[in-house]
Amino acid sequence: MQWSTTFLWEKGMDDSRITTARTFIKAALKAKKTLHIYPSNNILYRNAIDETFSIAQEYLSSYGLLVLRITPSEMFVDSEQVYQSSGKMDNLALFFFKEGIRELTFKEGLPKNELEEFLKLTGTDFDREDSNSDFISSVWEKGLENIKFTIDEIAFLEGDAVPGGPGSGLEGGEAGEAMKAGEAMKAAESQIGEGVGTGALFLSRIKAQGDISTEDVEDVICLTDEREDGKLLTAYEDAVNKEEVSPVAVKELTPEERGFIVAEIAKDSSESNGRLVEILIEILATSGDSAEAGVIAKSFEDLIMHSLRANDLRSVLMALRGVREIVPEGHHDRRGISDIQENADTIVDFCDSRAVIEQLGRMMDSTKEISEEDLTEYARLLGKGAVQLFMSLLENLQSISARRMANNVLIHIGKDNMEALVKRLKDPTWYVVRNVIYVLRNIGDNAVLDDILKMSRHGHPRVRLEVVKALTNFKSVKALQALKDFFDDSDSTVRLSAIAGIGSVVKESSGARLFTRDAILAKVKEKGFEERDFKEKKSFFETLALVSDGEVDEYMIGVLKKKTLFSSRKSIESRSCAAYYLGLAGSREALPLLEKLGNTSDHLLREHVAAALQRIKHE
Amino acid sequence: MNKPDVPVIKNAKDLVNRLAILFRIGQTYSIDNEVVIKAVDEFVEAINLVLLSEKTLTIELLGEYFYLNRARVRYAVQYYLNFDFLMSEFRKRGLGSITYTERISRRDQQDFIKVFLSCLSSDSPYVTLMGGIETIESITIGTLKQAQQDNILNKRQVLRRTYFNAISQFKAVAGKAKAKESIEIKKAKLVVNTLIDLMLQEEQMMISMTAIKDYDEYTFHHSVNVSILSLALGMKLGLNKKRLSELGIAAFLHDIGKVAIPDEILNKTTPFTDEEWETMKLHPVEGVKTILTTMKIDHVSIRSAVVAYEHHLNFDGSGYPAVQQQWQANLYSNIVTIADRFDAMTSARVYSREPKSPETALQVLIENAGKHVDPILLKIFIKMTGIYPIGTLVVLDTRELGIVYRGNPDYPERPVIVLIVDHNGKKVQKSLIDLSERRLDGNYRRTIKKTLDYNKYKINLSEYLLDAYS
Repeated sequence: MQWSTTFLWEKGMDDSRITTARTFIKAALKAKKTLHIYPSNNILYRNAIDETFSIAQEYLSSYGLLVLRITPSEMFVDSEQVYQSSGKMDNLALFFFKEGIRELTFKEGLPKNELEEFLKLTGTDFDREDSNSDFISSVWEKGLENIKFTIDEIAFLEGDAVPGGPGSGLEGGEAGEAMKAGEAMKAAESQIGEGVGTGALFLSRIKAQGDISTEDVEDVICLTDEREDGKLLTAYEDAVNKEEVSPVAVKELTPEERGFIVAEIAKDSSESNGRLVEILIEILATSGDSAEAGVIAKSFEDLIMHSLRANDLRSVLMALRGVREIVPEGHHDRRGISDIQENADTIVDFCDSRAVIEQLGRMMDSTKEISEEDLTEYARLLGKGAVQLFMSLLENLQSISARRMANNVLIHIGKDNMEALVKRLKDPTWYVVRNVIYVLRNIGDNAVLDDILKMSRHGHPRVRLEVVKALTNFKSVKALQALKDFFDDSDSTVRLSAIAGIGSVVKESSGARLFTRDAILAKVKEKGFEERDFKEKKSFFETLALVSDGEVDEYMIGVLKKKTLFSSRKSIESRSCAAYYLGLAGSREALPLLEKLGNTSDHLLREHVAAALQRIKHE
Repeated sequence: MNKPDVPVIKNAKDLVNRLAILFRIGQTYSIDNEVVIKAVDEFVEAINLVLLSEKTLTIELLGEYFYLNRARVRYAVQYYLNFDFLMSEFRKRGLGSITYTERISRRDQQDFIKVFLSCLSSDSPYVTLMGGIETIESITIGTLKQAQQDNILNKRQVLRRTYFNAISQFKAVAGKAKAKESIEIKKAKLVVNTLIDLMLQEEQMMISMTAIKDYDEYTFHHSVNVSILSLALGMKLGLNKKRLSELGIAAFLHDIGKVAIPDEILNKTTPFTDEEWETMKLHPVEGVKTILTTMKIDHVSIRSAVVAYEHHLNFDGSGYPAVQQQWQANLYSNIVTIADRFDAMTSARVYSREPKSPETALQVLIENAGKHVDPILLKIFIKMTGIYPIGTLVVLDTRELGIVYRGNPDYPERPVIVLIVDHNGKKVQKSLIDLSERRLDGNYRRTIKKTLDYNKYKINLSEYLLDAYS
């Protein structure tokens, strides 16, 4: 029978339609999670999009539209359930429902990028503190042409307690998110206000009751045609007698005006936080009572946090600068200051609170560009306590660039509170100590030399290395003497740095020559020195060459001559180092010996002798 | 005579609203549920009370209005969603009227709701409904008289619905702000975004809603009007959707600080004393405080707070609040300032009962360009509204009378008007006339000669601007 064949065919098609719709939602759910976790260039991310898109295409190319009806726990295509979840977490139906969406439509021609945008938005956490948007607005802003939704205005607009309403798919008595008995009535009744009018039907009754005046009644009744006509005719009579007036002129914008407005639009988007700061300062400065000043102070705090979350340090700086103008510098005694000042002071306190500093740290760790100049000014405005704060900040910063920036700020502000810096040398965390030494080194105040020297025996080599760098910077005899102690450090990098440091000091301070010569010479003569790495040994000879004299030259010539029958590798290295020294020192006395050794069979020695010859001859 | 005890039904709007409620909760609950029974009883009591003095009571849908015994029930903000719902339910069933002819019982009304709700599943809902209520002697029904599928009518419906939706939303926001409860901006955003979508398609129609000034609650309508006018100006500046949304919300909330002004000052009908003016002038600062204390701080609330603070600061730095430093208001504030002043001047406010005509308001703004308002933005605003803004009552050289219905950007002095009085001074069937139309000799058919203030004649603009399409 024809009819039954058709029926069966249609039924078969329907089954496939519902199955495809279910598969699409499953894929979308999976994609929602994947897109949330992985970056867009990740293969899993791309696969999730491709898979969901391919199923969407399959459905849309066959059936044109995919219309999903949404309830808190289910989604339907027509009357067929295609999704069900009773949970509150990861419940896609509830997610849409709570946004007020009651129907979601995907249209044929849906491009992949639109679907991707949509899925990304479904996975976005709009409840985050720093979120500036919501799901519905974000979808709207994206202008997705092929994904449309219907919103239950009553549920959405009437308040948080009314998830139901006509067309919501909710049945009375349904558990969970469903509307409780009585709330429906309340929701519907919320439409009822205190109406003052009535239709003509009730006019006599209301007049008798004396509830409202005749004027009120007239105001709400549709005017009868006769009354309206009368008014029009009066207007017409007046019109005939009225004098003509010339209309206002419409003027075109000049090119300059166009340019100005374009610039205004471009400038406008970035300045809101700063403008609000200016406004709050104005209000705070003129606030009439402590309650108002308190409200403004709280708003300031919110704005500061918001600006930091948006990587807008400039506005925070503006806030602090403005408030600092209200608060007398350095005051700590709150007695006798006005409410305004007290609240301004609260804001300053907030700026160096833990919450702000942590947020500042997150901002510095982010990839966004921050002006070091602004950061330094911010720190300066915080006053003496900033050193301590920035030290704490430094402990928690994750990125190298952020730590470098914090260090640089501390270098600028550290002078004002050296005590706080020195105190942190006792910190149990090695890198904090290292950073403090780095900052102290760059501040360059010799007064802290002894404190730095106390770190010479620190257990971590990178701290000791920093000490060496600091001592090198200080360039004093005391520092030089301390550097000598690092010749035997357990870490080769520290040793190398110490000898290089001494060299750098010697270059600038002739008074240290003798000390240096003796210290290095004594070291290279030590029994175990020969066993050190060749590169390290060379660095000692290199520095020694800076303080060369006849006595040292003579010693080196002796080392170079020292030929043994079975030359060990270490012996060759020592002779090569001596040749290296003689070349650097430009010792002409050593020329005959060097020339003699010019054809020596050992490659290392031959190379260093040749280099020395060349250097002496061309000096 | 003792007052009859009518605790619930206060007026015609309320009655229609109650009927909508019955159908809404009937959709959710069983007909014997106590919630439904309570609502039915209240409705029945009210109907029966009316039937004491009236022989019959007919609730009829004609066009976009409900009528009670042929008196039109005015569309009201507080009921708009339920009115809209009821209208749609009537139309789905092809139902034009329900008539109560004698005292009804709870059971009658329950049975009616039952059949009303179930008839939709049949192929001919109206016929099914009629068959289903045959046994209810006290209720009869009539068919819908006009086909309502016309596209323009739907547009108009959507437009009005969106406009009232916005007002309702503003009332809710203002209520929460007054109670110092937290405000979720996403709800306002949805409304503003819908306004934008609609304005992108039907800007002039939406602007025409702002020209209708016969509403009861100035503050609420004003906020929505300022939002619409600001959006229209923002669109002319080429702002993208996201920024339009921000602008729309900022404009929507520009006067939110008024919730902190005592009602006795806000509603005062006599001129303000100096002290009262000083209090009024606090609303920009109160606006900032209200926004920042009731809303989550984000880009939108920040922009809104800035506009709330700056919208009474003049372009030349004068105005209020008094600022200590050199101040140049930001772009959004300058836009909102123009929209605000234009709408305020053309509206009847409690403390200024004499509104200016639209073109007079423009004239005032022009006189103050560069001093009170941004002169460049004002130029764009005038180009947008036309020199005869929507709602202007105009006298033509043909001695006809019309109301400006739509601007004409190419010929600002030649808008489209609704002709309302002919050259003999007779009221005519409303028709749209394009003043840029020429005769065969090349001359214009009609030209505006004079303008009149429609407020003076208490002409109901909505009758012309909204109904001109049908």
